Amino acid sequence: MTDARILDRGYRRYEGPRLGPMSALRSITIHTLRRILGLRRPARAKVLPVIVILIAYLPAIVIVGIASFAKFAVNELPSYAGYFGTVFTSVLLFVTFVAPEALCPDRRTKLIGQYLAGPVSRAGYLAAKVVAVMSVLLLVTLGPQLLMLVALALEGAGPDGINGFMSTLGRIVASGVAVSAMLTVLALAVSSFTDRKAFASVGFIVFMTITSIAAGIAYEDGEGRPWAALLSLTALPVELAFRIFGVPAHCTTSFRDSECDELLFPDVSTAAVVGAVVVWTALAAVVLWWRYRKVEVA
Amino acid sequence: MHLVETGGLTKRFGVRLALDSVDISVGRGVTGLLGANGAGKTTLLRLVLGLARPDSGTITVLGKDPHHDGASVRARIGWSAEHDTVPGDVRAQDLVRHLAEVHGLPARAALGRASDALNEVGLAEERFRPIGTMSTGQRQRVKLAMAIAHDPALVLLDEPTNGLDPMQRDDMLHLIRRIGTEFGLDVLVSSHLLGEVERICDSVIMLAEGRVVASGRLVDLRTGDDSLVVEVDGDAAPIVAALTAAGIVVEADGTSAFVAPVDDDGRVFDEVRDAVVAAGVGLRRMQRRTASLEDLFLAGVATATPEEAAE
Repeated sequence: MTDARILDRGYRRYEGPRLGPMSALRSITIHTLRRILGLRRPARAKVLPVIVILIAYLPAIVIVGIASFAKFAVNELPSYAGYFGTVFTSVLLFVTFVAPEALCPDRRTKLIGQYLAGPVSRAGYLAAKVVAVMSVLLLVTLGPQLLMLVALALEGAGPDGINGFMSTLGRIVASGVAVSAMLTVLALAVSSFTDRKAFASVGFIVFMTITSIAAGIAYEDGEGRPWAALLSLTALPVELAFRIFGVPAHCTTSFRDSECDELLFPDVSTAAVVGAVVVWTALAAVVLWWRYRKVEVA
Repeated sequence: MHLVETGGLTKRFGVRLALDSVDISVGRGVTGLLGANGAGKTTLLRLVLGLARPDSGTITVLGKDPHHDGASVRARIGWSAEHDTVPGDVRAQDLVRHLAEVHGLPARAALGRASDALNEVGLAEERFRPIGTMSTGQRQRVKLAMAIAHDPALVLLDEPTNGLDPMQRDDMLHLIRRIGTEFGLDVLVSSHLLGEVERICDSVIMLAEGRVVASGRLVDLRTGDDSLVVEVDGDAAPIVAALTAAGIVVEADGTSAFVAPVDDDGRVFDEVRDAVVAAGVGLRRMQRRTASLEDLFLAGVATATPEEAAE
């Protein structure tokens, strides 16, 4: 018996399996997720995602705490639909930081050229980025409400019966996915105009603010122009959540009562709200594709 | 089978003709793609990668049409761009592993091969360092590791020595040569530096103004005329004078080197020997003249663009 070992095996050819393009996209998605969350990166890269996630979960934890220790106040807690309004600022802050982090460094460091010189198409690359950003965004749009739903159900303060539970679960998932998809594509579209993260973040905030101010002015001034409210990109996602959680039918007529107080655009139909979300998302997707269709590789 | 084969390949950008009826074939070993800036090297590499569509002509890469089978062709190509393509805040091993996964390797295999590739390019100790903390030479090595980790069928290197100091450039050229010989990978390396290509390549393709001015194996291309190069330690003038007096046409080149046409009976060798002895200087080198790549390139450019050469 000898202890001799060959340590330097030299360059070896690879004879194992080679996976297809889907595996490439999965790898880009995971790499982007790590980048966004600051994993395998210096500690300072982890600070902002952790803070924003904590802010998004804090109301849910407080609500669950109240349901556990102060049951008399359960009826005063915000609804699932209202939760979006409560945490929307932190959701917006999160996507403002996350989307530029996902997109800009690849262009700034020209790593995108390395991807496109491999088995990755432009559409596939963008799809991987959308999936990554949306997955992270779901952490703050879907996660806290799921936590609330499960915890309140365990405390006996949740929806009635299995049907009620499943219906609420479906609405939480639908609203979380729809709002995340819209904000993801919008933020990526704005980020596609620059390779600097800071410019992209500021640009997104300015874009969201300007559209909302313009929508507000047009909505307030314009008798007979209720559709102007649909231009408000800060109010539209919250309104969509309200509509998904079910708005009493009379709220979109002139016979409104206190049940309708949470609605931001009471005189706009639910179909118009959904249509506006689809149009904004599609428009942003077209802009994103247009910006990336001719990115140089070499 | 040739790794890359083109027939009448033409590519225009507006009115500018980037590639003009290019017919080349890239075989095994290390092949140099030579040409001045704007000669069409990068355009040709983009066509090889299937990232641009030719206006006319054909191109086959690894037996496939790269424009139609782009993803499967590019999955088997290792690419290293001219400019930096490495994010500074990612660890070298994470990036190389990620690129290997993107090229189709399963996660476990990609991790192992990333370590091996970084080891082979001399970055075993540095593989856990963020790339931003590395020197230019080390970052170029990371790019090289990214190009070879997935065991490609063809490695494309675009100006791999750009931005390197002379010592780093030497190391990089040595490494590229090793990739082509020890590792057994076939390499197409583009450069505008003739000396570099001459040192490491088995074959060359020379482009000028979008046209091929020379291509083939280096040993074949460099075969010169029947002249003899003689280099001595000391003053060559007495030797030149003696040979001229003996009726041999001598072309002096500097103070210590000259050439003379070799005749069939070998009389020139005897005359050179006698003249060197008579001059009392040491003989440093005596060999058949081979054409340098620079000679070939200039001759090729003169043939391809006679108007410009005349100027």
